[in-house]
Amino acid sequence: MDIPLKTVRQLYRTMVVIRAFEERVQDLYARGHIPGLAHLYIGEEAIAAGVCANLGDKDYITSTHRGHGHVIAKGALLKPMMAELYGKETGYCKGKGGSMHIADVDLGILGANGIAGGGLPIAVGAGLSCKMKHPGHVAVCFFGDASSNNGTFHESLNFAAVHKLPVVFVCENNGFGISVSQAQHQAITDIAIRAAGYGMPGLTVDGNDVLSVYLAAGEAIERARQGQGPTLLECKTYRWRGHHEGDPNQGGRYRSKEDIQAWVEKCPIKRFEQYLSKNKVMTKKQMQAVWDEVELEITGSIEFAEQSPFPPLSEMYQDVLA
Amino acid sequence: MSRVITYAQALNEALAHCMDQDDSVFIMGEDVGRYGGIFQVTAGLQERFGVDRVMDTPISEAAFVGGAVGAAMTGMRPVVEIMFIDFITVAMDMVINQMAKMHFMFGGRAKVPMVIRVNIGAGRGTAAQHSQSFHAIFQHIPGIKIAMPSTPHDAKGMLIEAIQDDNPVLFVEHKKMYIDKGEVPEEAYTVPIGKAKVVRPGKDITVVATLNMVAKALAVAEEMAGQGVDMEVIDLRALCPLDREAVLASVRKTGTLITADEGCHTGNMGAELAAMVAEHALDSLQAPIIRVAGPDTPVAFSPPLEQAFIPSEQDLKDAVSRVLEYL
Amino acid sequence: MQANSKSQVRAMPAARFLARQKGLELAAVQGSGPGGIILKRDVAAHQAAPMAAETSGPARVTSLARKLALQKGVDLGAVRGSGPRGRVTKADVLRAAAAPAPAGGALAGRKVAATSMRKTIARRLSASAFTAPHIYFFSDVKMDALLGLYQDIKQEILGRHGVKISVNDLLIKAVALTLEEFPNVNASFDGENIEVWADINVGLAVALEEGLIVPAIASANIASLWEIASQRADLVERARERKLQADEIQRGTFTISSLAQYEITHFTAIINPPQSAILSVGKTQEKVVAENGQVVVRQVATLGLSVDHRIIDGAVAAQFLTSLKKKLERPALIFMDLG
Repeated sequence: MDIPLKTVRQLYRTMVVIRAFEERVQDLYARGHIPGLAHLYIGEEAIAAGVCANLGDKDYITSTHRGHGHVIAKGALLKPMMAELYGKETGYCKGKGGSMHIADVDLGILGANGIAGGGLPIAVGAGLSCKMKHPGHVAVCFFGDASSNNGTFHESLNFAAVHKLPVVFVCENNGFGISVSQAQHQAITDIAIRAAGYGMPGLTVDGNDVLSVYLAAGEAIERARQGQGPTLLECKTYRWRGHHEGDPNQGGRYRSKEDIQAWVEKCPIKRFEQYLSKNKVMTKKQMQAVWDEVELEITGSIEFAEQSPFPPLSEMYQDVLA
Repeated sequence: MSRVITYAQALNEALAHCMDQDDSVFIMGEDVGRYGGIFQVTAGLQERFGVDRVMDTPISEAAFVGGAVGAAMTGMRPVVEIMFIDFITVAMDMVINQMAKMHFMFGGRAKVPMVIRVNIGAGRGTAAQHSQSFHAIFQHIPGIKIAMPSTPHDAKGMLIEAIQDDNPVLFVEHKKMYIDKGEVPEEAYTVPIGKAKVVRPGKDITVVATLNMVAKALAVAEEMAGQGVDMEVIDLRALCPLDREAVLASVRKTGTLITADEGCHTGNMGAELAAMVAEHALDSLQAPIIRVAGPDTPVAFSPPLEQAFIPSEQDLKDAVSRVLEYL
Repeated sequence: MQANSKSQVRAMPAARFLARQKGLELAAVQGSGPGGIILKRDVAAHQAAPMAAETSGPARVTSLARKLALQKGVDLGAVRGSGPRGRVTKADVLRAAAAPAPAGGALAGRKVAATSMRKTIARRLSASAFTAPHIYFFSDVKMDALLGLYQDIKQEILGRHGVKISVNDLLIKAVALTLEEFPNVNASFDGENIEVWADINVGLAVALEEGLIVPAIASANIASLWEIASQRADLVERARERKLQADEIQRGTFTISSLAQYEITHFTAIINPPQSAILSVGKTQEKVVAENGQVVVRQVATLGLSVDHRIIDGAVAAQFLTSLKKKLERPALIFMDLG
């Protein structure tokens, strides 16, 4: 493996930021500080970190309702993110989008998306832009296993393939569409096999192994940059929390504690920490320093969010039309 | 310099002009390339601008409307053609949840400068899934401009305006009007989206019409003028932004309102105008508001049934006589 | 149906707004729109001339037709309506305007816009003249006995009730009692149904500068003479002060129009819609008449009766007038209930 050390440390730090951010959101939500819905990414951090480490600011991503990890990995700042979750004026979307709609076009973040499968055609459009105006840039589309059953999946993969668009479709297969397990919602195990139907490469990787994700995504992204068209990359993973905060017993109605525990054992961050230790990339102390620094940053973002004002009511009437 | 060309040619000129001026403008849709679009609006454009900028898509409305959203958010100005408005239902999530909301939902951080061209209307024997006029549905969705040009002149000017607009624009054409002819300047020009036009001033009865109903309203107005009834005909030209002031000013003047639009009666564009008048100009009303509209049925195929669906000049005259009973 | 209860007054929004703005009671306005709904112009007309409030059903001219008639100088009274329920439309006016004008033509004089009241009168009377086919009956009535009775009782009544009676009051009473005998003369016809009124309210035409107004004496068949006189004096006085209530005009079921103070022997009157008959009264004057082979001088008045021939036959009209004549010539019969 030929991955620069700097990148390896960056992958670690990104995963830690996502985990720490989500755990704090979990706590803030439980204490009623954050309104609305929060869909947490805990347990899936390796995918966002591994994929986005291959992207620059001029590359695009589209995200999902479970989008905090993607936008953090793509470079979103924690203060306006947290403020957006609070519905504050200083948030990324002036408080008008919330957890499910964080976007920063300048960073190539075309938005988290509240509609399952909603981001796929938009990524195709970003791919069109890249092909026509920004050759060498790519669009990455995150979506879940359940969205692969949506019509937009079929339409988008076919469109991107026939027009050889620079789009990488990253399917985060966490085994559930809310409460419905993959076995209940599709008759296949590996979603990547669907790629064959569109004439594009399809690949399944361990989504809890950040280096596997990084390398596989890197290859697909490079193909796209070279004008060789799209790839379907399936990353198998698991969400530790319920579908949303408030899902009883973290999804206890549709899965067992044992199942959850089994995946907790496969924690992508723990696994990577063992790897970093074993290969002497980082010491335990260095890793702890990362956690401390990240916690401090997140605390700062919470203070920022809490001290920020809510948007004035007049804001409601802004931005309906440009 | 003006010369007489068709509505379809006027649209074609607008597209060619914009593509010529701005390389971020491109066209996507079903059969828009070599075929030139089924109503020949994009004829010749692929030859002139290439297959990448006049792109034949798979039959995947969600993908190419959503694709336009993504492209628009990332710096392009896509113009997509939906072959019949009926097919936009396949892409409804992209239109309503994505296109219309991005700008607001992202706090103004994203712009979605795109145009969706659709055509409405019965009269070509295309039956219930190719003849609908449900454009008013989109009036209910904040964030979409809705243009409805009724002449070749306005078709050209409003399409250029739509393409240059930073908002998503639903550009509503009428499939029976593509061969309508009218004077159109050769040079480029814009016509605002959101300004109604008083096409015939009058003081007795207000008629607010869209698309093909404008010409019908004008014909009836001429006929009624011979009987001493002075009708004011307003071409609404856009459902969003809705030119409320133009309509209210006319209703305040005449104390009457007849709306004329091919959409089904219930919930059509006239419903919104009627409600608006009830809210803001009730005291001016001297007569009932009457909506001349399609019936609340799907469009039937059988020619006599199809013809009966289309609101006619006689329907307008009946509305006028009913209003006259109160004046 | 309680068409008169306040909550059920049907009016177009613009009419309501105008009424509210002008402080008018909508219930007092007669609607001329479809189904009798009150239109803006009804309120405007009422406001301009409350005295001439509509007393009949729908006005039969559209406002556009009226405007055009004014422009083109067309006499609306002479235009036959072709619109719904006989309404005069613009097309009717245009047809009338296109008809050849009388040859010659007078020199142009001063053109004065008609007042709203005048226009209302014009509309209503022309509607009556062109809707109800009129037939006319005349009879000379010897008034000596009635005048004698009047002289005989006027002081008495003044003393007892403080009311000055007039010969007209006696006439009103006689008419009211005759109407009791001929209910069909105390009726209205809307083209479909004949409505025979339970009340007998006798209207008395009062000439004002701006036009004729007809307040009605309520229940004149039941009211005693002094009560009739009292009502009559009050109504005439308030008519001159323009203080009549709409109902006092609208309640009339029959009209008496008297030109007795002028040098007019007899005249024909146009029925006051929606009524079906009107009595015209000429001047009472000395006439030489033959009586039982003797030539004598008597006080004679010529009474005319105009009736709506659609619902009143000639024989009935003749019997009515004969019965009235009998009462007036032998007034004792009136008060002895001898018919």
